[in-house]
Amino acid sequence: MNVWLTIPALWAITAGQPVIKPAAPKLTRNVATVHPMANGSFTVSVSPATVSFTATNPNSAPVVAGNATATASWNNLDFNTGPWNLTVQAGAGSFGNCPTVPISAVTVSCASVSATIGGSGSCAAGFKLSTSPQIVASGNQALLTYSYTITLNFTLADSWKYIAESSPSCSLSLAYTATVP
Amino acid sequence: MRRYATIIAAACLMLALAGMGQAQSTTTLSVAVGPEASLTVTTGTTTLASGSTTFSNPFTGTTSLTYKIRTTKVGGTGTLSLKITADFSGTGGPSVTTPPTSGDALTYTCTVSSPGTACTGTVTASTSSATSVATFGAAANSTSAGNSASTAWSLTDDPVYATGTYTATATYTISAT
Repeated sequence: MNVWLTIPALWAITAGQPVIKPAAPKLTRNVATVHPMANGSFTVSVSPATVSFTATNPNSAPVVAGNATATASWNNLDFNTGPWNLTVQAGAGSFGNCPTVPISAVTVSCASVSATIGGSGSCAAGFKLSTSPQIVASGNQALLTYSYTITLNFTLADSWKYIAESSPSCSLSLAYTATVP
Repeated sequence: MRRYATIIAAACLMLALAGMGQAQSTTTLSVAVGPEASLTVTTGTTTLASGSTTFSNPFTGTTSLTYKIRTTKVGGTGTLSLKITADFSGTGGPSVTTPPTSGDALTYTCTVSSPGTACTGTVTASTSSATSVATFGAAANSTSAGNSASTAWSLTDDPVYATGTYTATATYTISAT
């Protein structure tokens, strides 16, 4: 365990400093090769780009499900261990073009979490969307954990208080933030 | 040995300096809120009664409603109307379609809470066409619990009516665009 942790760090420290020569340069080079991303340089992908709701009748359908389940994923092999989490927050306090639709009408629910090779994760309880980041899933990253996938469901609480607006529809930007050790 | 100590110390330093990594992404939630309306008649049966025994007062009664509505932000409208879909039953009594005496009529006035605009004045109910109770403009919305409306009925007390109980049906319709 210590060898795997130590050698990548040594490789970084000794770049351009030939005074310190690692005892096993071949192993050092191999570890560097499988270290595809530096800490903090990974990318979170969320699909689909847009989740849509069609609110037609608050009496017969007071809660409207989104048209798709969203999937957030990222790859990051940094050989660090420790807690990770994914947060979701709204970019504004109400839907654009529909100021009567509050963002708190949207409930975010985590459906599943997967983390590869020794990593763990679990869903947080569902919550109403806000402009503050809220943890939707979290867990622990193991030494070789490199891939995470979280699926999310969105529902909208329909209300007679909303002003009807179908075209252009109301939109809201969501920001996802993945934090890894 | 000293070299290993240096290496381990450097590694520990690197581990200590390693911070949390973060990455962000954004997506969009899209909502299409459609125009919609619903109506509940809270007074299922409205009894029309006259407090007079001298034909000086009409038969009166009030039907209460709860409406819910949301209209489109630009160009939306809404209407609440009623139609007598079944005239007074029996013979010798009042009639909306063919009053026994000219001037006999079933009329009503409207009370509608905002955002509705109540009908104006006294309206004569009809079996052939719907008549207005309320109208709504663009960007109108009720509360989640619904808003109140009512029609206050008035039926001429005509001596020619045969005694008895007569029943008619008024059908209310609400719509939104």
